[in-house]
Amino acid sequence: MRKMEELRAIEEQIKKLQRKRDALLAAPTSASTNVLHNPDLLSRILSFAPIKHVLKCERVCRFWKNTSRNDTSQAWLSKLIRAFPEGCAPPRCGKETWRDVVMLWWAWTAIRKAKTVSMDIPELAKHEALPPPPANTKRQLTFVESHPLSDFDLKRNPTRW
Amino acid sequence: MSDTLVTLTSQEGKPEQVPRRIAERSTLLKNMLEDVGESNQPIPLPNVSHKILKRVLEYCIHHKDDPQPPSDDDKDSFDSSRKRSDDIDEWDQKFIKGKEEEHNEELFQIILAANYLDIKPLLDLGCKTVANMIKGKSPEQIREMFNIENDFTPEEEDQIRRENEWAADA
Repeated sequence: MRKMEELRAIEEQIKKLQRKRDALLAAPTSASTNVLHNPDLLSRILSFAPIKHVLKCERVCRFWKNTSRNDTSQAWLSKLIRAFPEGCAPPRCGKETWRDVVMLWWAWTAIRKAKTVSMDIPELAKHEALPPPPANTKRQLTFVESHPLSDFDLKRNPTRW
Repeated sequence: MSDTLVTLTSQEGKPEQVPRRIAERSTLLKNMLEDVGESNQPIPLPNVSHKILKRVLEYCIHHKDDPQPPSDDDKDSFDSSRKRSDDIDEWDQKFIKGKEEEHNEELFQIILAANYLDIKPLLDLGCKTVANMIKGKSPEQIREMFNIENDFTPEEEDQIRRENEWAADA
């Protein structure tokens, strides 16, 4: 009895999918499809949207995600430089995709946050309680210089931070 | 020479006569006219319907005295303030709004025509309008608005959400 019900449900699903397929095949290609599935035009549209919205747009469909992530246009870099004026626009960013720059910015922010959080961890707090070295800036530099990840790692796997 | 009339033939084969100066707002037509020189031959535009051609020409007539925009390839002329979507003037807003009932389809047809004819300001106007439509919408609302199928699995969508989480605090 249960098997019959399952079979009926599957048949119902198959019919639904067939109807959907027929509708898709019958529908003429609309202008919106031609625009929104053209990488150049979509990149141009996204270049006018604020970065937060663009990142939301990456969840619309695979094509939008790939277009957004492969966009290497100058407009994107400029937008990022304006969005994150601190530490996200190294002079060499012109050769990277916008996403690389975002990842780099993300990693730097995470490092800055990690420094603040470390005060809440007892062992690290003990370390922080030691008399500070004469120049505070030097400590910051030491921290950054001695972190275990290379630039490559930061870009490829920023979630480790 | 700029006052001579040029005949453009739409997808349906309907001719439309415009002064050369107006036709030259389109980089494609400008280059064609320069290559052909003096000729009375109509220029076929098989990718543009008559209705959209008339709308495009309406835009070109209104903006006939505007300076020619710099090309995208001209890196030196890149201006970072250019990529704003809220600097559309009143006439352009009314123009691109068109008739409410066929707004979306006509808007996308204008974008395609502007892209084909290489009329950068009109292309930017169309793209800005779509960008403004996207603003503040959820991915689900965007899909509904533009009739886009969600081809992600829930896991994939969740993964992208996690990857982009940083932007929420940015």
